[in-house]
Amino acid sequence: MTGRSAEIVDSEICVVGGGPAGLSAALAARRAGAQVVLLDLFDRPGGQYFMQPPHPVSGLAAAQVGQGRALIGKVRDSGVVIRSGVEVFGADGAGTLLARQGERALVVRAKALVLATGAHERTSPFPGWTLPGVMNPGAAQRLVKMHGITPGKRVVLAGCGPFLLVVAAQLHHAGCEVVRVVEASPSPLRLAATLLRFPSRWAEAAGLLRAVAPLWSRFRFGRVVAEAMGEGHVNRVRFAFLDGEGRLGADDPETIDDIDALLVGYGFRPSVEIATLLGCSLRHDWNAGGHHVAIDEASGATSVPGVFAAGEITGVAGAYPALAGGARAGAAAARFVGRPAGHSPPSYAGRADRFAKALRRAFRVPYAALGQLPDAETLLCRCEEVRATDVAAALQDGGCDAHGVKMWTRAGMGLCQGRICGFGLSVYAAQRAGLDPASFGANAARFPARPAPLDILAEATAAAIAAPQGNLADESRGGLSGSASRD
Amino acid sequence: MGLEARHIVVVGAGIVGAATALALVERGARVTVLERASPGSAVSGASLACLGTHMNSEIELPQLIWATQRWALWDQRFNGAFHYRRCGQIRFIDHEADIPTTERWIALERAAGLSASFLTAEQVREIEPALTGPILAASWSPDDALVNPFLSVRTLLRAAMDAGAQLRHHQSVLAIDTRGESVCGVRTADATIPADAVVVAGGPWAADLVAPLGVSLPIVPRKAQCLATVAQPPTIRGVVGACKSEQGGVHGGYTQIQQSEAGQILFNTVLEGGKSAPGAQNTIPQVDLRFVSDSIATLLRLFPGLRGTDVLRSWVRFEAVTPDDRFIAGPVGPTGLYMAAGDNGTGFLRAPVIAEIIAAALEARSGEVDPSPYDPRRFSAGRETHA
Ligand SMILES: Cc1cc2nc3c(=O)[nH]c(=O)nc-3n(C[C@H](O)[C@H](O)[C@H](O)COP(=O)(O)OP(=O)(O)OC[C@H]3O[C@@H](n4cnc5c(N)ncnc54)[C@H](O)[C@@H]3O)c2cc1C
Ligand SMILES: Cc1cc2nc3c(=O)[nH]c(=O)nc-3n(C[C@H](O)[C@H](O)[C@H](O)COP(=O)(O)OP(=O)(O)OC[C@H]3O[C@@H](n4cnc5c(N)ncnc54)[C@H](O)[C@@H]3O)c2cc1C
Repeated sequence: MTGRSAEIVDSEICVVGGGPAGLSAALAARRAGAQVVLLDLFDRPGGQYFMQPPHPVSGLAAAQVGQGRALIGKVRDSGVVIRSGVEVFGADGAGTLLARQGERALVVRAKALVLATGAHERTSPFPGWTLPGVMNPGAAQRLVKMHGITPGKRVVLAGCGPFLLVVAAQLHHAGCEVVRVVEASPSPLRLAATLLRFPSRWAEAAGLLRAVAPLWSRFRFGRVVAEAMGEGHVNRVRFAFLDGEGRLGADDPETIDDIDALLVGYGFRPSVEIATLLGCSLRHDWNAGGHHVAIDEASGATSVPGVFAAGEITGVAGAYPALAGGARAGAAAARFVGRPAGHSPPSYAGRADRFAKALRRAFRVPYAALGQLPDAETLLCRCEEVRATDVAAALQDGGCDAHGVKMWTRAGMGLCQGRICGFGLSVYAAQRAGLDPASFGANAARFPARPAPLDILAEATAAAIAAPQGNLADESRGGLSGSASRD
Repeated sequence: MGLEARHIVVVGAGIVGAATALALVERGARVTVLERASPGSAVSGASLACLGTHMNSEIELPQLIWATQRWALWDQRFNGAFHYRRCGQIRFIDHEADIPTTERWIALERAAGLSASFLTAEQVREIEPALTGPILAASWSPDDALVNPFLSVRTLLRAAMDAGAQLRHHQSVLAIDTRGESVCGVRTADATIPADAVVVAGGPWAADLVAPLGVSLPIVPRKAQCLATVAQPPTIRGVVGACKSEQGGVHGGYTQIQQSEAGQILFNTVLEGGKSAPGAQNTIPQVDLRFVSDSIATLLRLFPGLRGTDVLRSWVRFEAVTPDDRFIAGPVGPTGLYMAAGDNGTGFLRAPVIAEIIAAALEARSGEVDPSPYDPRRFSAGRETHA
C-alpha cells in the first residue's frame, strides 16, 4: 500500500506498559533468564507514578522521580529491551500484538504477555463540566510535572481520594493559589485512622501532610462540586453537601468566584482495552475502579493462558501493589515460557495490598450523588453530545445497558469509545434506573483499541498474517475468545 | 379470523421482531415482546441497513419492491425518526465478463418498474467524486436508501408499545410450552407467560429454541464483520458495493462501503462467506485479521484519498443463514408457532415483508405480499437436507 512493511519483533516475553507494574514485571522475567521486550506508549518509561520529566524536579515529586529513574536503570541494565512511543492497538491470539511506533507498524510475537496498561482518570459529569478550565487533576499534574505549566492561577480541586492531596501539594509547590480542596468523604478521621495502622507509610504521609499543611484551612469535607459556571471559561463554582448515604443533600451556600481552573477527579478506571481484545475475563467492583482484569492473585495469570496482568488493570490500588503484582506476574510469565523463576515477593507486598484496600474504605466515592448531579441538559457523552435527558429516554425505552444506551443515543460511539463517558453513564444509569453497574456493563473495547490510520493497520495486519504465529494456544488464533457482551 | 383478544408473544426485538410486533398490535392483538438483551443489540444494531432492490434477489423482487415502499411509508408516518435517506447504490465492476451479468440485473429490475442503470467510470465519478480508484464501470440504483439501524428498531418498537404492546427486555425465553398440539406460552427464568401464539424472531438463535418441539430448521450462524473510521467530512454520498459476479476475489464475496450520518465511513469486504460453527453466535469475538486486511485493501483501492484516515472500531455479529438465502416465515410445528428468522444478511430490508406475512398467516387471510418464497415447508423432509 505504502510500500513499507511492518517491523517484526520476536521475544519470549512481551510486557505492555512501562509504569511500576510493567517495569517490575520485566525485571522479574529478565532476572529469571527470559528474553523480554517492554512496549510503552509514552516518550519515556515510568508510567504515571514514575513519570520522568525532561527537566529536574524539586519538592514532593523528586524522591518519586528518583526512585523511578533507579528502577528504569535496573531494568535497562538487566537487558530488557525498552521501546518507548509504541502504541499497542491490536492482538491476534495471545501470541501476536499489533502496534505502531509513530508512522511505522510493528508486529510483536511472544510466547507470553504481561499486560500492565495502568489506569486513566474517572470523569463524572455535572452541570458545567465541559467548560474550558474544568479538567482532571491528573491532567493538571501532567502539565506541571512534564511541561512546567500550571493549569491556572486560582484553582479549586475537588473529588475523592488521596490523589487530591498529592495534586494539591504539587500545585501549591508550583505556585498556584489553591483556593479550595473539596473532598467528598465526610472527614479526615478515617484517613488518619487508616494511616495509624500502617507505620510503614508514616514517613510518606508526613511528607505529604507537611506539603499540604499551608492549605489546611482551605479543605472542606463531605461535599461535591454541584456546578461550574462561567462565560466561555470556568470562573465560578458551587458545591452541595452529601448526606449520610452518599446522596446529594442541601446546597452549600458558598460559591467561589474568579477561579481559572477547576480540577475534579473521582479516582481511576483500569485501562482494560488490550486485555479485552485478548479475551481476558473482567470483573466489576466500583471500589477497584470498575471493570478490571480478573487474575489469579498468586501469579497474575488471567483467564487466557499465557497472558498475565499486573498493576492498576487488575484493580486500582496504587504504585506499591503495582510493583508487587508486576514482580509476581513477571516471574509467572517466565515460568510459563520455561524459565523457572524463584520468585520471592517483595517484603512490602502484602502490606501494600492491605494498605490499598484500607484506603479504598477510607475514601468513599459518593456514587449515588454523582449519578444525581447531571441535570437534563448536562452532556453525559461529550464526543457525541448526548444529554442526560437523551440517556433517560433510552433507559425508559428499554436500552438498559451500556450497549443499549449507546445504540439509541450514540453515547460512547465517538473518539473516546466510552473510556471517558463510561463511568458517568454507569453512575447515572444506576441512579436513574436502579441498574447495577456490573450488569450495565461498559462499551467493550474492539479492534483497534486506539484509533490507527488505515495504512498502518493494513501493514500490521498483512505482516501478522504472513508471519507464522509466535507460539501459543492455537485455539486462540484468529477468533479470539470474546465476551458474551455485545458492543 | 381477527386477532382481537389474542395474546401473541414475539421472541426477539431485532428489526424483524419490532416490525412484527407493530404489525400484530395494529391488527388488534395483545402483544408481548421478549428480548434477551437490549432491543436491537444483536444483528440489527450492527447493520449497515441499506434498503435496496438492486442485485439482491431475482425471485423476491416483488417482495423487495413492496418492502422498500413500506420503508418509505414508515419514513413519512414517523416523520423521519429513523433518518431514511434515498442516497442510491453503486455496484462497481472490475471485469469485462461481469458487464453482461450486470446488464441482465439492470434489465430485469427495469422490467419490474425500477430505475437501475449502467454507468461508465466517468459517470461514477459524477455521482461519487471520491471514488477515484481504477474500476471498469458500475451499475447505479438511485432509489436505494439507508436508514439509521438503531433508530429504526427503536421507532418501530416505540410505535408498537404506544399501540399497547409490552416489551420485556433483558429476559430470555428459555422454552416454548405446548398443550396437546398447540402452543400455550413461553417460559423465562422467572415467569411463565401464557400465549395463544408465539412468533420466533430470534435470528441465529431461532432454530435452537424450536428444536425441542421437534421442529428442525436449517438455520446456521454466519459471522458478519464491519469496520468504522473516525468521523470524516462528507466524502461518500451513497452505498458502494461490489457487483454480483462469478469472478471471485472481491466479487466472489461481499463488499459494502458507506458513510454514516455521523460521518464515520463504514466498510466491509468479505472474500468468502461460509458458515460458522453451531453456537458461534453465543460469543462475540473480535474481527479476523484477514477480514481487516481485505476490507482496507478494497476501501483504499476505491477511495485512495482516505489513506491516512484513522480506523475507530470494528464489530462482529452472527447472521442466520438458510440453504437458499431466504427467510423462513410462517407456521411451523405445533399450532400457534410461527417462524420469522433466516435473515441471510439482508434482513433489514425484508423486515416489513416478514412482518406482513406473519400477520396475514395469523389472521388466516392472504396478505399484501406473496409468502411462498419464505414458506417453511420448502425444507420439509426430503425436499432439502439440513446443511
Ligand atoms: C493521570 C494519572 C496520574 C497519577 N498520578 C499519581 C501520583 O501522582 N501518585 C500516585 O501515587 N499515583 C498516581 N496515579 C496512580 C497510578 O495509576 C499508580 O500510582 C501507578 O502508576 C500504577 O502503575 P501501573 O504500572 O499499573 O500503571 P501506569 O503507571 O499507569 O503505567 C501504564 C503504562 O502503560 C502504558 N500503556 C497504556 N496503554 C498502552 C498501550 N495500548 N500501548 C502501549 N503502552 C500502553 C502507559 O503509557 C503507561 O506508561 C496516577 C494515575 C493517573 C491515571
Ligand atoms: C455489518 C452488517 C451489515 C449489514 N447490512 C445490511 C444491509 O445493508 N441491508 C440489510 O437489509 N441487512 C443488512 N444486514 C443484515 C441485517 O442487519 C439483519 O438481517 C437483520 O438485522 C436481522 O434482524 P433479525 O431481527 O432477524 O435478527 P436480530 O437483530 O439478531 O434479532 C434477533 C433478536 O432475538 C433475540 N433473541 C434470540 N433468542 C432469544 C430468546 N430465546 N429470548 C429472547 N430473545 C431472544 C436476540 O437477542 C436478538 O435481539 C447487515 C448485517 C451486518 C452485521
